[in-house]
Amino acid sequence: MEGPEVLDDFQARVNQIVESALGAYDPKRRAKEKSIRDAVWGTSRYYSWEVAILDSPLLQRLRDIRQTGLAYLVYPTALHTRFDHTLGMVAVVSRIVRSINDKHPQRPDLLIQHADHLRVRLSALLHDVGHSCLSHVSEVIFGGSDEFRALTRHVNALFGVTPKPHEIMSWLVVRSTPFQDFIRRLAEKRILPEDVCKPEDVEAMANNIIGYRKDPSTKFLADIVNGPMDADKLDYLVRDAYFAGPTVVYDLERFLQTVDAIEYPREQADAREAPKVVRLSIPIEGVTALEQIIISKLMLFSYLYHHHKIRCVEGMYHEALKRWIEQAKEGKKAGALPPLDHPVCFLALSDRSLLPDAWPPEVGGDRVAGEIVSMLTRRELYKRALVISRLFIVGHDTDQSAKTGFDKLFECGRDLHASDALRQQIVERAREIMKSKRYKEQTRELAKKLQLAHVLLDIPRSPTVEETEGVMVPISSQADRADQRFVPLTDVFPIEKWVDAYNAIKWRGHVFALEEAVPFVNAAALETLRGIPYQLTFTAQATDLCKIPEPIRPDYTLGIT
Amino acid sequence: MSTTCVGMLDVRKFLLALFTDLAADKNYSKCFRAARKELHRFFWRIRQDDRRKVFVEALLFDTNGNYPHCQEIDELLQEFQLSGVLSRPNPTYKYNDIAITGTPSATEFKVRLSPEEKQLYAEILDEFKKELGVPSAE
Repeated sequence: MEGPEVLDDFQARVNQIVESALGAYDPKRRAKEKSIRDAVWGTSRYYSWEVAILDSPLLQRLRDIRQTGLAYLVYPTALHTRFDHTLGMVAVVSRIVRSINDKHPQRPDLLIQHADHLRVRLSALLHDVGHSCLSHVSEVIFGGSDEFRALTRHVNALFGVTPKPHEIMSWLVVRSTPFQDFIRRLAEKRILPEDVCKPEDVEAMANNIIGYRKDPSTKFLADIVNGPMDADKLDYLVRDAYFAGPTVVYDLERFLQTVDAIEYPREQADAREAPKVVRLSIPIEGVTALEQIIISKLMLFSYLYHHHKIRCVEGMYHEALKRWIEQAKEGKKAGALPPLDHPVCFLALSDRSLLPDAWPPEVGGDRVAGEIVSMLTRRELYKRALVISRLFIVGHDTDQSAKTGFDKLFECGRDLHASDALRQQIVERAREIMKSKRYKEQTRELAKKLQLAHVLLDIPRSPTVEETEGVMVPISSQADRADQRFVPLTDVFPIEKWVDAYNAIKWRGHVFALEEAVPFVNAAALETLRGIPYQLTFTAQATDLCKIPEPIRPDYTLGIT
Repeated sequence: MSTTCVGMLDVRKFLLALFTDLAADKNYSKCFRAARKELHRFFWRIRQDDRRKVFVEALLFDTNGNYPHCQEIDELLQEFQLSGVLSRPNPTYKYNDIAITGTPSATEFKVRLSPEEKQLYAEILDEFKKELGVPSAE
């Protein structure tokens, strides 16, 4: 399925799920707004209609979706949820809106009207309803499916945007018929003001979530929700760091003081015909605040998102989830687990759906998925069997074959089949080593037990720093000057160089394995990656960092010459 | 659900082929200009061309910014940078040096092309050299 057909199919499925969530929900009219306290932003106020939406099963579901997935297994206090983040983002939206309005008392065209402010708040309130269990942990799986890729292509063709999978899912929820009916009910009960409940308002709210505006002169409104310096990021950077523990600081007050709705320069050739484009941007004197935000994000990649243990637990969970999906495709039922034969099925899940209570020990004769999930519950994690970095590859700077081999490994990281084939090679080699004369007494049982799912290959993508992409910075802080000059933000703050440095120093790939198999998998991985087509020889550091008590040096393994 | 990403793998191989073929041409230096806007626009043009889009069909461009931008291209360039296939020498960061002159993936990509696709590929390579390559004399 492709094009409009795929959108219709997804929308019909989402409609059903939203209907089951909202159909029986009877929103209550509250007399006044509500104050909610938050550990990050303090006390914020929410309008009565926002509270009615927050109280709906659609939003309450987010209380059971952890913001940073399984990171709590590494940072025990990282237990914050999508619900908390949603509240925080709404609070930040209003601060950005007020900050912009304070700057333009004389420019009604740049002033954000009250109704627009309310719509942007509602977009923020709904921006994460498309998330599924453990946030990005499941997003990688449903977003990577062929069906979802087809949907993403169609959304891109319609709007010219490239939203993340959960954003597309949220967009589908907000534009669904049951959600529009729900908004109508809120208006009929006089809970929601009339000027934000028309079908075109709901459409605009949905489009904000994917970063699209029909009218480019109001693009800055979508930018507040989904753009280079959106409220989403301003909240999650502080929140993730606050709850996980690492100190990450940026100067929000300075950012708010300078962020603005700025009319972008038009290309010379079509200056007259080109429509007016107004984006959220920051004048040159505020760039430092934006730099801090971007560097904070890079730091969080190092501390949190790319932390080797977090990558490991996520990899373990993906293994279990993939097996579950394979079983569902074959029509096998997995105990209390809902079927996952289509990406939209994920919309019905929250974290507790995938806890071991729901997960039977055996699915279609396969015990490995159940075993992995109960290991995670006991926090018995796989361990590092090899650390991959360009710094640990012999001759990397000088040897062409090392570069080609390393590149082949990256290609393998993008190709599920090649990655599975490499893992299988490592598993088979590890089994051979286990069965060799030297070890067979101790490890015969382990050789029988070791399966493909017990060895993970993790080649993370480079951090994406889209914050600077296409952002134009006015040289003067007087945004409405007729002779305003602009420079691309990348000229003032060359982020690629930071990302290059991050990649060179901080980037790590890994082979993870079942703890008792680690020395064997280490030797097997070293040997396999030394063979064709990779031809990579690793320095001792690649093994030393794994802290293997008694590593098996490659000299001991069979077949090493 | 299946989760293969064959399309992006092909784009990766296509880019590798372009870069290594440029590096193999003695009339050009083993590098291309690290000009973001021009680079994204180059691939955007190919994506828009019904004849030639076959090579980059998997790429999705964001056209809401002030130039068409593809996140996947940035990711792939970072990946080549990480693996050492490309390097941006400081302090200027003006060029992407191409460190290799051939890879099995690029060869595999070109072998699979039909005669007509080979012709299209040659056209694209020629344009790439002219627009982003650096003639040896420079």
